[in-house]
Amino acid sequence: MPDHLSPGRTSDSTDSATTAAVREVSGWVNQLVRTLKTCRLYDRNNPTVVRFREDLHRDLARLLERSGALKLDITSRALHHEGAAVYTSRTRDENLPATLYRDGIRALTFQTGFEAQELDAFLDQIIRVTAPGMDADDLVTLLWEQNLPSLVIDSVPFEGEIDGAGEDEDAQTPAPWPEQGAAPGAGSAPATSSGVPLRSDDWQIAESPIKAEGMLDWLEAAAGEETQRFMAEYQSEVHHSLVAAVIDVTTDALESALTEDRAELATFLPRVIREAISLGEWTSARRGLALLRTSDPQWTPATFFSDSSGTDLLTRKSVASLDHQGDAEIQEFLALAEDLGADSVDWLMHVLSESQQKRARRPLARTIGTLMKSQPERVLPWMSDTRWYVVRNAVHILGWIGGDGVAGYLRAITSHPEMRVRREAVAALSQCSPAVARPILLSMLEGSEPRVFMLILQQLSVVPDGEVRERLMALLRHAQFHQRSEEEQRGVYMALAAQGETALRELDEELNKGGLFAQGLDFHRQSLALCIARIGTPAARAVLQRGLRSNQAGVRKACEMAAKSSEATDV
Amino acid sequence: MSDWPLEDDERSLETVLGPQLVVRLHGLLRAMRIYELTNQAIRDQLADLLSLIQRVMEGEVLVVAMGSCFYVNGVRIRAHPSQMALFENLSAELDQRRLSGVRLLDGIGAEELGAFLKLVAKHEGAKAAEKIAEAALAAGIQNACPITVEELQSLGLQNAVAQEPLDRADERGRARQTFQNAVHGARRALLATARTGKPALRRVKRLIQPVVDTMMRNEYSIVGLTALKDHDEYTYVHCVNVSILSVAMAHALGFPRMALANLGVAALLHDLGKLEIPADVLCKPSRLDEREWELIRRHPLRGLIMVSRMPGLPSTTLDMMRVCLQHHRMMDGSGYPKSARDERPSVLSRIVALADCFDAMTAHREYRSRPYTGYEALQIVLGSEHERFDPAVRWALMKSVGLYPAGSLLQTSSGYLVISLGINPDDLRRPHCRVLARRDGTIPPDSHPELWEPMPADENVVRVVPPDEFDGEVEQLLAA
Repeated sequence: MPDHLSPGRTSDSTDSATTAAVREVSGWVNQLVRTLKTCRLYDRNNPTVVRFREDLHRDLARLLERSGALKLDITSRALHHEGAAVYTSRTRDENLPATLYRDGIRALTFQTGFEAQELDAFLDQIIRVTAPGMDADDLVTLLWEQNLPSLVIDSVPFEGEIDGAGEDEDAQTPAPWPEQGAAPGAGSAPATSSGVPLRSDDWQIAESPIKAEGMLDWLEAAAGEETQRFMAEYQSEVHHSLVAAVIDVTTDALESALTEDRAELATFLPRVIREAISLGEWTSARRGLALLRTSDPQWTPATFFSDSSGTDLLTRKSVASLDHQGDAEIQEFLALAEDLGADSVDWLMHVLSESQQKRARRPLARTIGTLMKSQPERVLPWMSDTRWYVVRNAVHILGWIGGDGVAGYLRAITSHPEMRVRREAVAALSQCSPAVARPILLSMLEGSEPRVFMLILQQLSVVPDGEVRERLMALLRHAQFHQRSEEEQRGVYMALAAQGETALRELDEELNKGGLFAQGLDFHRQSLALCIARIGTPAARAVLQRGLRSNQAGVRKACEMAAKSSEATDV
Repeated sequence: MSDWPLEDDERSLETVLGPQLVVRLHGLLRAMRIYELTNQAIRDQLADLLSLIQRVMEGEVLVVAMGSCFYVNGVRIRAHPSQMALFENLSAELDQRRLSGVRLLDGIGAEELGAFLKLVAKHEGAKAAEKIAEAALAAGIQNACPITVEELQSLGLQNAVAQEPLDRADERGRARQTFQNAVHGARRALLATARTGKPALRRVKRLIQPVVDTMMRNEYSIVGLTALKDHDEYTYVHCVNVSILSVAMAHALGFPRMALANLGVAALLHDLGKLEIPADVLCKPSRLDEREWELIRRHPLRGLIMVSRMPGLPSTTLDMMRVCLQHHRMMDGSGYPKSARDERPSVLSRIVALADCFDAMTAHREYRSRPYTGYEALQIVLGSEHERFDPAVRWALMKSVGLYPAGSLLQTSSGYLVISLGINPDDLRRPHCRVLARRDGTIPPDSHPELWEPMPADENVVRVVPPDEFDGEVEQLLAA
């Protein structure tokens, strides 16, 4: 360690002004460390982070204004200013000196006029190289790329001139080009008699020179326009999607590729496709996929999604894109899903689970259903997910698949604690044949919430059935039927009406023999009469006619209303 | 397909293998003070160290300390914070012996390595380096030698941000340093690429930064250095030349800083695919036959494939892929490999194509009596070949090398014979020159060269003198 940077050693002058300056710098450096820590903990837009950054810049600006440029010398453990240690690392986790030193930085000079955005860029790059899992360039490159005019970086070179030794008689002539795995010095170029190595050409050109001066005149005249045109082309290239451009150049390469080249490029394409998916560029992903399948017909998406941590990240990014895209992009995503095929179903289910947009979820569920059609059992693991909405998605997909084959899976979910799942199951059962769905629906009737109850009744009303009729009559005759909501009661009546003439005899008995009517419940008489009217057959009308002549006023009134309602409907 | 060790890439050397090697070396040196070579623990550690050495072998392995910073084969090793104390200890040990490091050659075995390290551990003090070297010689150790502090060229600190050039002598000195560093670095980078099969991108990025900084300061001396052809290091010099010319041309066109950096990287690695071409084809002095041409024509695609092996997908990858694939594809559809969709090459590829062609034309070829001069090369690429290159790029080349590129011998209107040293950006027809002969026939002495910086406004070039008509060595004059 250079003597002037020995820890704790101050400059030769014991002037109090110098000591105060060092203290001030020490204060600012400690503030820098605290700011970095805060930036790592919170989001960029967090008010605390914003304030820390602003304060840091303000104090730096004051310091620079008072004292001119601020230079910090860097060792592996400490930062020094004018020979004195102004910051010593305390923990391994927050070791700013080591971070800078490790990447070859030996001094930093903050010059006057240091802008806030420069400081932000400086902080961001330090955070970047210390973030876990980042494979960033070293800090010298990162800071260079930020182009910070007010920051001077003194660094040790990446490449040392370590082969500047003296003449060595035994040194072999360096190879004109290193062969893979071969030592330098092998395969030296043949030389002319003068000792100058010779080599071949990779250019085939016609050697017909012209006067350059004349061409210069022409080029000078055309320079403005040609440069403008050229830079416009450059801008167009730059603004083109990176992934799409990579696929373009890969497509170009494949056109001249031999078989072994194709195989090797095929190993590159999954990475491109993954990147395209991460960016929400579904069209590019499809192109990449098509290219991959041409290059490697054996490739399947199974390996593509086998890395679970990578797939989680892919899912998050895909959802983030999808949920902000319009219908056209969503359709393109669905097309990609179809291109990927059944191997991608698990990943698509993850996307479906995470997406917040119904306009994306609904068509996606259907696409998944299409992909799973021949293997509906693949949805089973999702039906035991702890998230109710995931289970609902799975049930919805089963409904989309449809057919009696899914009924068994739906039966298992009918007792799910979440009402919205059960409701979805009822809707899905509509895609099974009535004979298969009926027992499951009947088993769900008891204890269902009103909305589910109504939905079940609707399903049961599709085809008349004796068992359903008996069950409905049992509900009707139940002592607590009248405690159900009006909507539910109406639902039972409508379901009975849907049973048609098979229910007419029992309804007629109820109408004329007392029971509910004898209890004087007008609503129920009227509902029953309407039910009979809804059946609408001549036999039903005959029952109503008889009712009109009943000696019970309540019965007559109910039948009158039902008859009028029926006439109005006929009109 | 070649079988490269995927994990032994540049980053692996920098963060895994390199630190392990330094740690092992440190441990062995300490242990050797106490134990003999026959000790089993020593033998095990030697075997470990040898295994690491073989994994990073590039004909030789150089382990060098500069301060507390270690380099292995030119790559600075990134120490984990927990390793820094150990690195400092080893550095102090070497420093105490006036050593900068050790050089281990391909073929070294465990016995030889152990014997050498034993000598290093044994001898201490300011004269240790000499004693170690003598003792190694006496012991017949051929594949290991110490690197002394004196051998190592001392390196000053580099500023990444420009300072105002004080005068052209300083600018030329800086340019020369940047150029030499770039050539050395290119050599290391390409050797590493040959070993791993993947471009040593981080290394190359650091090489290019000073080149870009030079261009951003409008210092054109470095472009003049591309006229010097180092025969022994042709390949690496060519890569650097193409990179410098490309960056200069792009700067002339108004490219932003980052774009210059990406282009510089892509241009330096444009011929990556040639790593897979047999040396006897690459070095064939005469014209190639059809089979050999077929191999050559594959190098753009092979270069693209090597780029595709790099992790991630940054914009640099795209630029490199395009340049590798398209730098021999011409605007008029000629060149190779053919594009089935008849697409024009990307703008960066057009720049690198002209830079590559221009520099290649000025290289030595057996079937030519002498290489083309820069001026002659200009005449060809602007003449019969002009349709192959984008007009904007041709203009940019002119703006970068001038009408009379460095090394051109010029006769002026008043009778002077001068040699162009490099472009005068304010007047392409009047470059910076050195007077070789005055109009009265006298010759300025070498000790006090007469320079025109630039050629005076009342002088015009009336004739470009072919090198055959000149007695001196043009390259020596340029290099002076």
